[in-house]
Amino acid sequence: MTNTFCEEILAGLGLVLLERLPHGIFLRVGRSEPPEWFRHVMRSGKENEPVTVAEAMPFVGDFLDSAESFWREGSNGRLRSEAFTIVDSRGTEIGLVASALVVGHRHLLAIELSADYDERRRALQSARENVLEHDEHVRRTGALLTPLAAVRSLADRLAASGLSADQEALSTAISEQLAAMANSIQSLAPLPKGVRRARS
Amino acid sequence: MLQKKICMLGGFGVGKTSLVSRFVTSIFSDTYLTTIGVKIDKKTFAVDAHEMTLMLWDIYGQDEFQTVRDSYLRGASGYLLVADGTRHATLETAAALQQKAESVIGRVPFLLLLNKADLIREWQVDEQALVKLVDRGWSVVKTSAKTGDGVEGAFTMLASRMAA
Repeated sequence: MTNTFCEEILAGLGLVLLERLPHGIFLRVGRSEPPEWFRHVMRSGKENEPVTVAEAMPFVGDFLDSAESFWREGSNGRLRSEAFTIVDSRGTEIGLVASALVVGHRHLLAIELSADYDERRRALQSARENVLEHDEHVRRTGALLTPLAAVRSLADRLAASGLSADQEALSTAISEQLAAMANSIQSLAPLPKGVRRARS
Repeated sequence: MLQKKICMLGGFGVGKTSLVSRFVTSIFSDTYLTTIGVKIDKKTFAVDAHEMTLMLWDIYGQDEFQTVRDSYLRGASGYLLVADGTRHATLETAAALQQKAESVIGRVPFLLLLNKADLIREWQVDEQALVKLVDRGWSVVKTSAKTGDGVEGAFTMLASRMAA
């Protein structure tokens, strides 16, 4: 495989490889076109042109503190950052992950699209919307039951205030209807967290 | 020029991203979109006659699905705890995050922002709960990312305390 072929594969995977040179300068490895996201984030990055990575991606700037130690120790494997979000020149949010690597004596920084970013966001978004829906349901149920309990209490006091037989029958009927309403509201029990209500 | 890191901490859906957006770009969107990882914005402005650049670390909301990692907090000169006035549980999350922040970065300036002041009639957080926090020495500011009320003032107050 040629270097260009490998570079094109990396770009196709949304990965940019930078080499850390003395004095904290970063140069992009390779001559082929970088991934599209990179072109919308970085103004620099052409061959032999330093990449101002920390300026464009402050999170990576912060990650470099750990990466420098990793490179100094010449560790094997890779040091991976948490996922981070940047907004490109088009206003699009992009999820990325940075990794520090040592290959031979070269100190490399790989920045790639976070593979599960959209999926993770969808899952979390859905789970959190469920929780919000659940909390809202509990709040609304409570808002109905509280005044209903107060009316039932008033009806009980009325029943105990020395009513005629007709009035007492009416009061009992009111109490029964209120109890039925309370039962109906309570039967709309909140869904367990994480279970989504079917939408019509 | 002074440059300081501020972390936005709070439960999910309390409005951390909206507060940053309101402060940095004066834009508000009603659509809730959960934050993955961290998103960093910056804003330079004058604080007590000095230029200061705030690096605003908008960190994903803490809940049963994910907790805030210590590494996100390191190096912060201050933080904004954000709670949603319409959801009392978010105040408890904010309190837990305050303890976590203090254990990781020590005693640095922070404020509690009670967001969604535009929905104050639906608030579950009452004045009594706020008085308790103020008695503990917390500074509490009511904000609305939607209307912008209290937002600029809150960031400025924190920046001013960090500069002192």
